Amino acid sequence: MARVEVGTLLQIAEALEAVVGRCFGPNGGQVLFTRDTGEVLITRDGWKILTSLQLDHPVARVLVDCVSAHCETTGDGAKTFVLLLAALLRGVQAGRLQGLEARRVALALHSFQTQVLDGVIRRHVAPLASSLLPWDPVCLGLLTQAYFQGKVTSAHCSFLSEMACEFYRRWRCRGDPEGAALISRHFAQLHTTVPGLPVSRSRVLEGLVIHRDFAVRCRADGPLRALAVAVPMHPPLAPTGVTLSLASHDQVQRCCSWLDGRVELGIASMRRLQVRLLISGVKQSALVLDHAQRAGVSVVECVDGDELALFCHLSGAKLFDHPGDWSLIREEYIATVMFCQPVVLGPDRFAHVGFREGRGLLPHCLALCGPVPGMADQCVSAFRGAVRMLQRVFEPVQSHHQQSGEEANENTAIYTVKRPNLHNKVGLHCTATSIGDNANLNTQFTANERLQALLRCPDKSLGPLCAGQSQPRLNTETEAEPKDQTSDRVQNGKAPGTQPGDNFGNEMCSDVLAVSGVTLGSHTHKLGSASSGVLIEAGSLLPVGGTFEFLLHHYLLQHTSQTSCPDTQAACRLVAGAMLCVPRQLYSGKRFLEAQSRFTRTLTADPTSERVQGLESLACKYQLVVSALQGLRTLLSVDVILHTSVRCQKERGREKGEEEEEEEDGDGDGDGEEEGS
Amino acid sequence: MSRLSKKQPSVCTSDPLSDGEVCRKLAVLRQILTSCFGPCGRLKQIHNNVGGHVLTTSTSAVLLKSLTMSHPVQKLLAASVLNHVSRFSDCGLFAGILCSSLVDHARGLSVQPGMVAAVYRRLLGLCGSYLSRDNCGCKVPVDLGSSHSLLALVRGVVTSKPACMLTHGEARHIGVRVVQAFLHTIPHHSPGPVCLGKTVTVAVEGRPVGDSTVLPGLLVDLPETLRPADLEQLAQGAFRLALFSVSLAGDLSEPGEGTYEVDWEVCLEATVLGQLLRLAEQVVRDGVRVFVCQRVVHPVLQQYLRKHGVIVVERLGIALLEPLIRATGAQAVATFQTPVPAQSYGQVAGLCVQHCGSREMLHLLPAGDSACCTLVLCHRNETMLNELKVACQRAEHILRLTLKEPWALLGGGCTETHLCAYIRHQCHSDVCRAMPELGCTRADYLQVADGFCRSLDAVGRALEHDDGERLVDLTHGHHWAVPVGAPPQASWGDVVGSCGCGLMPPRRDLEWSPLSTEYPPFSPAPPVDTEAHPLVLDSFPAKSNALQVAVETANLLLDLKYIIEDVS
Repeated sequence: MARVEVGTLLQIAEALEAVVGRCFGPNGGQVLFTRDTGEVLITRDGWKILTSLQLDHPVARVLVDCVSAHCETTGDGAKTFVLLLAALLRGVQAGRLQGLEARRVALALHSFQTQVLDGVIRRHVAPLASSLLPWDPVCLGLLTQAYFQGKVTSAHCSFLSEMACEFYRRWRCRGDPEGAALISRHFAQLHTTVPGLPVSRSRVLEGLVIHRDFAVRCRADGPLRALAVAVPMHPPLAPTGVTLSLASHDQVQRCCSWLDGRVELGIASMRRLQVRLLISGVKQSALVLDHAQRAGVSVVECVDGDELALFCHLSGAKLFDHPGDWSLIREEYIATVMFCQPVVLGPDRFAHVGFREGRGLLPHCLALCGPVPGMADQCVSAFRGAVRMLQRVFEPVQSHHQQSGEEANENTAIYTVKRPNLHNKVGLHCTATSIGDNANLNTQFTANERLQALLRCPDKSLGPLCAGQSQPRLNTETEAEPKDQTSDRVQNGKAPGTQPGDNFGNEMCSDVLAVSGVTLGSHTHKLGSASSGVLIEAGSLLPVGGTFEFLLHHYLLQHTSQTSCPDTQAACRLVAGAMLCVPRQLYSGKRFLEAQSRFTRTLTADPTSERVQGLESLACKYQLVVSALQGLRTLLSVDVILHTSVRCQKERGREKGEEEEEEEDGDGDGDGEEEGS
Repeated sequence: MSRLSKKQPSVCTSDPLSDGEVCRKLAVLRQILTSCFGPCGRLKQIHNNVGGHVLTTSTSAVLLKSLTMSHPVQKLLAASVLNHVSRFSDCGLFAGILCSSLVDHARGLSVQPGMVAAVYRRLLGLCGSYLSRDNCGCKVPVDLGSSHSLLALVRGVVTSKPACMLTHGEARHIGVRVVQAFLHTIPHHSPGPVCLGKTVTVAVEGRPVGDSTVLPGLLVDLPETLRPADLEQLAQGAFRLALFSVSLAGDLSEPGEGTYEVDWEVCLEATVLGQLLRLAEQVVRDGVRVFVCQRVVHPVLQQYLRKHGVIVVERLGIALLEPLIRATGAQAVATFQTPVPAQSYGQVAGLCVQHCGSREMLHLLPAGDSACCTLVLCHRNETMLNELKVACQRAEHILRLTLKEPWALLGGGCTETHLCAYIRHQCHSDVCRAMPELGCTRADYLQVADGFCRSLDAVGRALEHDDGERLVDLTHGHHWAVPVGAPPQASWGDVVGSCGCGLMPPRRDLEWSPLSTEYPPFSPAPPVDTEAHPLVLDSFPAKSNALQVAVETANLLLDLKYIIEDVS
């Protein structure tokens, strides 16, 4: 058993910061990994580095999990995440020395996002962002250029950025979220890794490369009709699980010739529909290939299932997967491909097909080269991240209240059922309403804990229901949350003039467990419609080089002076201070101060009016701050690590296993009482 | 459970290139590569700790594949060289030596590694644009109408493999054979896109190199059961040939994974055999005289066919299938359930037995324009034969690449010295443009450019293994060797032979400077005599790609901040 101190967390975060810090920013270097299999991996991608490290300490693993979750959504920002988290922890540590309790900070940060951050972003930062929409190729170039500067060596970033722009231009994907989502979802099928050639030989190819060679190739020019199938045309004599009873010589003959007849029927129906290309997800027998050759049908077999699905999606045809009768093939299974030819990419030969433009999109794919496989893989993972980042850019960020409205609804439904007892609640309410100072907040905190403990026991014999509301959040956790008093007031009509949107800046100290009989459904609905909509518009971009960090720093400090709650002030100062670590890492020493003063000068004017070096996505940056705050909370809420051995765990059975799992995920309940016992 | 071992934490090295141990290891690798380079390169014997085969080679691909590298940096370098060679077949050692000396020179400088990489990249761009210019002094067009350039290209490949142990005459003989085989693979008149044929290499051990030859058509292993009398029967004339890619061993096709319940009097094999015999009847009826199968043929079927005077060749192998289709015009039949269509039969112009060393082989003569031939390579022992085989396959690949880009670079070290002279001259005019673009100082740029040129020179100097002097002339920037044992007091003009590539005869009117020293920058002039033919050429696509790969890999190594090794 080991207690988790803030110092320990900080040590671990700083150790990771030291590794990724060297690869941070446009002048960062590379990291070379060798696997035990002898594989060589070259990367500058923070997420790749962290996941390849084989970390042992549970806290470090929890941290890496947080990074992974963040990268899944934005495809960027792993290094900044670690820097930011380390800076936040440093802030917490320093605050603790001044008597600020770490766990209270965790709590304060919890509502910080919805109470303060969203408001600051909406009111101050988002209006300053320039937009990629309507489609601006120059902006896209700057955006991808800045992205690749953090992911590959500086030699390749302008080349890859141009290629990314060309890729999107030729796809005719001009900022519509659907196209970007399609590219992002199918990126694995849309690229080919080619080792042994310099990176500059990478190129954009029209159509789709199916990563298989032709089993049968018949020359054909111009558009031709294709059929995608997932079943063999020539079924085996006795498939798995079937027993074939053969009683006579004749029967054997009949069986064989019946099967052969099926093949001929299949070929005949393909002839009838003038199919010239057969794309098969399974292996077809030699007989089928032989027949296809004679019928002039090219065959590509053993195609990966995802590729087959993408082919059908892009061509608009149905996949034929009826196991029996090939004469069922109708017109709707037939796709039209514009060309079909072999393409040699590095050591392999693949089938290459082209599509007609459909839904305004013209499919293209990528061949990404590198002199060593590790290098080619680096290009691929950088590109994959860029595609995900762009998908994110083209989607607007919804306000969290609205986004998780349903979730809140659900939570409440559970809580209303499980509400333990009324008296306790009333008592809580009494303490919580007379808030305003630190002592009271502590009381409230413990009260919350007790409430949570109580919430866990499913006591069905309940008194009158109290509508405590959980604060809607991005991630689903089992914690119950105090609800915002002000929004409640709106609800109850006690303060009818107040708009929830304006109340974002309200102190979290006003969090209470309000007792009210109002049903939650209507509440959430009202809240959702009040804070209508979009926090960050689709395509919002800010200049790189610390603009976002400086802006947030500035406005958070400004907010500090407007609020009177000491905990909010502390949280704002903590986050504002931590934001500066990013530009500090970008500009070393004196250049940081220069950059900061330059920023302050331009703040009065439009910060985007300067000639920009590159652009980055506001949505990704915002998500980064949110993720870092969530990560911090996850880390701070664990107090004890229990080391168990595998053998013991088996004997002790299931519940202990669960307990360890809880700890591993870092999803502790914020109190650590169970672990302590 | 007791065997379950815990994953070890990874080993982390920061700033690997500042570590002396890493540099020592790189230097060892460079030493190995340098000593193998060129026609006089030293051979390496490789044998592993558990005994077994001893390998003698100086070819980068064979060498690097069989070495076990101890450090990730070495692995990275080896991997990029191997990947280059697998695409372009040549200039692997050039890439390896250039890359490691670029890294080595960058270490000695007081310039930021990132800046060094940026300048290297810029210089690479200068080289690339110079090489792509039509008036480039180290590039010559390949005239596909004459064999001169082709022979020079092949000579460049074959002579740079000293492990083949060829004399001058033998090298010439092999060169001619390789070009001859290559020309055989070009179809004479085919409409539409040209599809090159295949050369099949047959290696024969224990015969002199002079016996190497090119045969039209294909050689296949002589069937054991074939009697010479059978052959005499069909000595002349064209024969029909049937080619099967399906196994004719008598197995059920597509039996599936299910279970069979077979009545005791039903014999599945007999059913299949019945189908096979029906097929054989048809084949005999259609007048087929040669029956070839990629896989096994059932003995009963063989017996039946032989009885009807058909020559059966079984177990052909997948490698020979494609050339045989090209040579005979047959289509491989993939099923025995249906009758063979008439259009899938091929033609053979004749059959005879070839004696290749200890092996007797059946020679299938092609009918018409087949674009397929067999290169029979002979050598005294297995090691040399293997190396020769690799060299010839490389040379053939180089010739094919040349068809795409009909240009070649001067061999014998002349390209390196010429390029080096060009960069030395050019960097002085480029520095003013480069300074604002890269954000470096003039001194930084010139230092790095000097390192780049020295690295190119180092490759040129690597051709020398006997402590002789290597010179560069100050007019054309070609590479000249001073023979070992030349009187030290004699002027260089008296002792040098022709230049490395053989384009320029011995001349006394030039000024020379040793390769390792600094010389005043000059713009290298293209040679005056346009009639002369260079004797040694290097492949243009291979060398320009090698140059790029070397610089890119060096930049990558310079950019490394951390090495993390998984040791579990």
